[in-house]
Amino acid sequence: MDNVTVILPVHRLDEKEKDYFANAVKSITTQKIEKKPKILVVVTNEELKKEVESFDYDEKIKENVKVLINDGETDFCSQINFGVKNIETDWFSILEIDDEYSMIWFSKVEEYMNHYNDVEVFLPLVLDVSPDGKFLHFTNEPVWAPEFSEKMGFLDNDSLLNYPNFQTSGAVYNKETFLSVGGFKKGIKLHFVYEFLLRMTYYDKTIMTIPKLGYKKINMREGSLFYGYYNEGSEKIRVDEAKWWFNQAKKECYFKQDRGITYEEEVTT
Amino acid sequence: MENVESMGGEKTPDLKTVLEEQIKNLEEKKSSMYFFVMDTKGNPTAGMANIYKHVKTLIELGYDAKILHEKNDYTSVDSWLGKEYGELPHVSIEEQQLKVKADDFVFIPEIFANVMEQTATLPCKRIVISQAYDYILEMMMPGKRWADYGITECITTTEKQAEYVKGLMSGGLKTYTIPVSVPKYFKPSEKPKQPVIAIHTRDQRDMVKIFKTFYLKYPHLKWFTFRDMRGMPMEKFAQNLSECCISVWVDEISGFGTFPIESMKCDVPVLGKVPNMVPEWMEDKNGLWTHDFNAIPDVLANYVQAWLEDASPEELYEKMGETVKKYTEETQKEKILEVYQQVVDNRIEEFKFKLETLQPVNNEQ
Repeated sequence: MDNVTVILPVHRLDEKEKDYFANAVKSITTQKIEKKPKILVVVTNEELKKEVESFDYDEKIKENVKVLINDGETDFCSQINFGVKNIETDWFSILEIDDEYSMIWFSKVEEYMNHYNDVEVFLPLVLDVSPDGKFLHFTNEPVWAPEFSEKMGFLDNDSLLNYPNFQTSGAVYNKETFLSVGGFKKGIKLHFVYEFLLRMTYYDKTIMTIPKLGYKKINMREGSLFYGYYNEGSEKIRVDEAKWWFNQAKKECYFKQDRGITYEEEVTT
Repeated sequence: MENVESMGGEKTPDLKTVLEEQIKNLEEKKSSMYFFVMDTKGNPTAGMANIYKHVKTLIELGYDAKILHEKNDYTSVDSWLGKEYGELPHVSIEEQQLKVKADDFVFIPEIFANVMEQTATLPCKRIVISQAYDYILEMMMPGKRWADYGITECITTTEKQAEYVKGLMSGGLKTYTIPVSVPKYFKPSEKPKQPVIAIHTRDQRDMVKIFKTFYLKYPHLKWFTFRDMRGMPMEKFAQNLSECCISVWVDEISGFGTFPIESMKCDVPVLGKVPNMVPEWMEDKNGLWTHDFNAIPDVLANYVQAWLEDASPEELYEKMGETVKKYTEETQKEKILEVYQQVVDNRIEEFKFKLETLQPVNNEQ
């Protein structure tokens, strides 16, 4: 799997986040494959770069780690888009700092790539847990349910319109495909994943869920991106606005570029 | 050919000639072997498939084997077993052109006690093929045994069944065992297994109970599909089975247990309820076996959760591989040759014995 780069955006590294970072990196080190993926850590400033570079990486992956500063916009989507433009491999995956891969994930991706060579995005079966580690649910699995999508195991536009809850972290993407549809749009706020998948399927890109546990995600961790959208603070989005962004995602998916739309509260007279 | 049943010394040479000719027919494989089957109306059954397999193999080995059915409008097995089986020689009883000779054989499935009774006066050798021991008494008159219909030999699929029928029909019954084989098109899928559960239960209600309980108790696994394996053409059946991550099998009265062997051949682990007659291939570690029907959904959930993590026990797959090695088409072919030749040889011995008992009488005259 030396043709895959894991993009790991880091905004800060306080004590708790150092632990998360160590855990995330460990989940790459412990992959059950000989050739570990490359790692690109995208940071926001020089100080953070030094801190990430000085981390005590395992010998198995030490040579694979590269740290880059994105001195442009530093939201999650921009960090990923920046990372994708700077990788040297044909494939990449996104790892959030507080999440982890399962040990089998990249060996499974390798296996499925050999059997499904037309697939452009391999989604993992995501294990969603609460901040205290309790099982909540799986994500990305419905494509395997009977009659969910046109082809069992594959995501299509019609099924996404009926069921929007899919996750892209942990997935392995073809770089060219990602760039060809325009990458992530930060302007879609909390529904950027949904809009991206709608756009991918609208442009007939092939997305498959590998029916194996590939990624463990902590839901609503305090300080995470989505926590900010749902809880008090500057990022909090009200229900009306969330619905508006959801509908906007369905409209914006036809456009490859981020059109920078802004929320306009409906005014009734 | 003259009527050899007439009394009188001058007829004895004819009987001798007839017996010699019958022996010659048997030795030269000119005697016919009729395998009576029921019309399943296009519905696949493992027992039927096995009988057709015997016939096909016997023809390949040079015997004159035929499928014998009751009505002219018999439904061909083409659609589910394949054209090569549909094209095997078939004979209809209804046509009334069937002439069974003394050196011929009629093989009758265990359930057809009525056929055993109706054919009791035929001059040929009749042998029971018992694959489903639970059906033996289904149509038997109380107190009757096969010997009462002149049947003293039986072919089964397992030693356990052979012991069972011997015990049931009491002394004198000669048994032969020919294990079932699994065709080569049962093989692991080329692509990775899918979150699909193959399910095969004798009683459809069992299947419904299992998947409803599973979905109720494990809603987070509701995206696993249960695939009912009944009623499919054989090659499609094999293809579908090979894609599944596990198969579930419930058949209390199974005589052999073909489905689990087919699953194992496809590299699909089996979760099964232990049948009343424990199959001889069943071992602790070549499947997930339980005596408790109600435990099946729980064992299934445990297994599929392990499968999602790629944590299925390796030993299970090793043991499955060892188990299926015994049930190849090659092994079965050897056994078919051995058993049917034995059956023929026994018949030859019977005729020779008759021949020998004739000669002293001639000498005295």
